Amino acid sequence: MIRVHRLVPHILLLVGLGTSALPAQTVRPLSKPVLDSLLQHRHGRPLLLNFWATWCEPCREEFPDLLTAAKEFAGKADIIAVSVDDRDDKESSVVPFLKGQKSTIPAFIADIHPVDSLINAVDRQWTGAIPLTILYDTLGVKRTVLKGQRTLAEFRSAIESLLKKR
Amino acid sequence: MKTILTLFLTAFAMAGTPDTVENFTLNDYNGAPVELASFKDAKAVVLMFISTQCPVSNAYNERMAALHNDYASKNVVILGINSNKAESPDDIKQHAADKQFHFPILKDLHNVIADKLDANHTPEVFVLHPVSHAVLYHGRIDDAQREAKVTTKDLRAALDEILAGKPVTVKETKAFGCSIKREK
Repeated sequence: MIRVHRLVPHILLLVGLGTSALPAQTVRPLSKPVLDSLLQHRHGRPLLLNFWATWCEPCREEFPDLLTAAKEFAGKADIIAVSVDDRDDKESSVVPFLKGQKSTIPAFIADIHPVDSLINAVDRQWTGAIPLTILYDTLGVKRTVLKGQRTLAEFRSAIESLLKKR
Repeated sequence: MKTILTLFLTAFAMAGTPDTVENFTLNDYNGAPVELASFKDAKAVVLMFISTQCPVSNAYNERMAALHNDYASKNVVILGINSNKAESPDDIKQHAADKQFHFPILKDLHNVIADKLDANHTPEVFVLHPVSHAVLYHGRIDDAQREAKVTTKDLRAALDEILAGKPVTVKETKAFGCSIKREK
């Protein structure tokens, strides 16, 4: 028997990702089911997840390059930003930052607790240092982990590498 | 040859958290040398990677000061370590004065110790056996940046177990923090 309530996050996610008309300031919670759904439903496109926070200066510095990469690879790869800010800071800090960046990429805020569970759900080798960028192939398999601040050239190279392997 | 050896040792050192920490000497923010081995009579030594600029590290300022105030009398030594390339000894000294840190803070030039311990962000702590320098606990101070949201005081729990002569139950924890800004 299909438990409909368990499908809700997946349905909402698919609607959200498929709807480019969603306001840029929409920041959705990233639960474990949502994370799993992101990895499962690739639709033939690699995925780049960028973990960041408004309190992280290198994260803020690399964000414009992330947005540029998203525009360059629109339709070919999915680039998604996941804030690890405190959820209470979503409206006061995360949304304003994204608005200021004129961000159009899907945005989430981490909602997996406790913090160890979130970090380990993403990558057991991850210590929690941000920014962290992880690239998954079209099957949702983790292929590249980029630790620390990165440049547009590095984002491009990582994405192109996955596109070539399709 | 020396360069190759240095690179090899650096790569080896960065292969993850070591089980034990080699003795080292770093200067504090006044330029005075502080040697890890000099604390062999302590109950435990806490190496705490901190920052003057990281908002997460700064969110823990009061808790760091409180840790020293609460555990110094119990012969637990807390050593702050600053490995961030852009934070000078003078910055560290001023920050310590402002935040009333009464524990030594050492400047890790060229992030040598951060590399040896594979320390990645601030704040990040390593609790060491005072003689063997075995890593007894590694990870976060507690589980929330906002003190009102803390549910587990992981570092205190580890120290209390050590002081009670018990093995540390939770030896490794994780948390978010600002990446240590290393020299490349």
